[in-house]
Amino acid sequence: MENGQRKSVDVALWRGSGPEPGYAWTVIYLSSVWYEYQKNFPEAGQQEYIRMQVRDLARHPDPTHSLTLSIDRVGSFWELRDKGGPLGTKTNMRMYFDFITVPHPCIRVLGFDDKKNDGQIYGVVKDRIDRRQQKWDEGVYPIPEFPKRRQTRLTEGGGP
Amino acid sequence: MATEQCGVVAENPRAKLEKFWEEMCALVAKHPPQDRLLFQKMFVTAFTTGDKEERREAVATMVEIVYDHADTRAFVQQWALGPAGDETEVHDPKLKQWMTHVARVIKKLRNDKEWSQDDLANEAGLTQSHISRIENLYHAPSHKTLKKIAKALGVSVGDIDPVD
Repeated sequence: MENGQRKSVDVALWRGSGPEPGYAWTVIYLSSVWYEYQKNFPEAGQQEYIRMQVRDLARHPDPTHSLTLSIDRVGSFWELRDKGGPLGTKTNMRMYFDFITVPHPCIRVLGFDDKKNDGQIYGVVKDRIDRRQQKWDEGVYPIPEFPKRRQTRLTEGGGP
Repeated sequence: MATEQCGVVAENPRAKLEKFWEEMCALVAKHPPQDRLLFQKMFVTAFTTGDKEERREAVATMVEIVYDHADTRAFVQQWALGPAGDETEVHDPKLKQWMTHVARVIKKLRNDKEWSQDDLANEAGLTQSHISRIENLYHAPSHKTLKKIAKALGVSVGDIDPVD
């Protein structure tokens, strides 16, 4: 590991789990994303609301085009935008993500941010997310092991 | 390096900044070149931008490059989105209250128009199952969804979302 630091990638939800027909994507995220999520959205209600939106995202066969969520492309990744409701009046939630299909179809959550206005992503944030994406692609962060049982539910049409 | 002003030895601000810069560079001296370049870019942004939020983000990126965030696995487990069963229950009382309010208003406005969930879904460009999940408190609608529903029902988002 670079700089002797241990890094981790964790699974938020598994592809094929959830209500029928099951999530279309497994969602994985960096350990540092957890920190951003906690720091920017400290209230339990905000966090539960965001988890619901992530579940909704994972249901989409093509999460880059959603009828229910605001998704925009930012360079080599995408951002999920939301505001109002349980997030509060001054919160502009941004979740940055991309996809991998090998070894398993995954949405990689690359970062969270609470933007104070409706504007575009800051260049410094984009650079930070780009760096994470690049490090991940270089294999700095390990990909979790995927149980075969969950991998096959969607592809083979069987139950869990 | 110091200059004498009014009999008080004060540090030269430029020298102070240069020393700080050297200290900062030392932090990333062993990092890959692209990280060092990015670090320098963030440093310049942090010192030149007039936008507080951008400065905060630049510093956060510098910190991330230097420390590369240690593992926080012990806490990560709490974020796990959980199995299917989790979807049927809302845990946070405030969120539940908000969802109940939103669901009740949508249902009332829909019934006033004598629309089925299918009708509303068609008008709003959503699916019937999504409307059903919102009305049955399985899902908290996003702002985009609320805008679509509000437009279809001929009201403003504020009429549905008490926070908006």
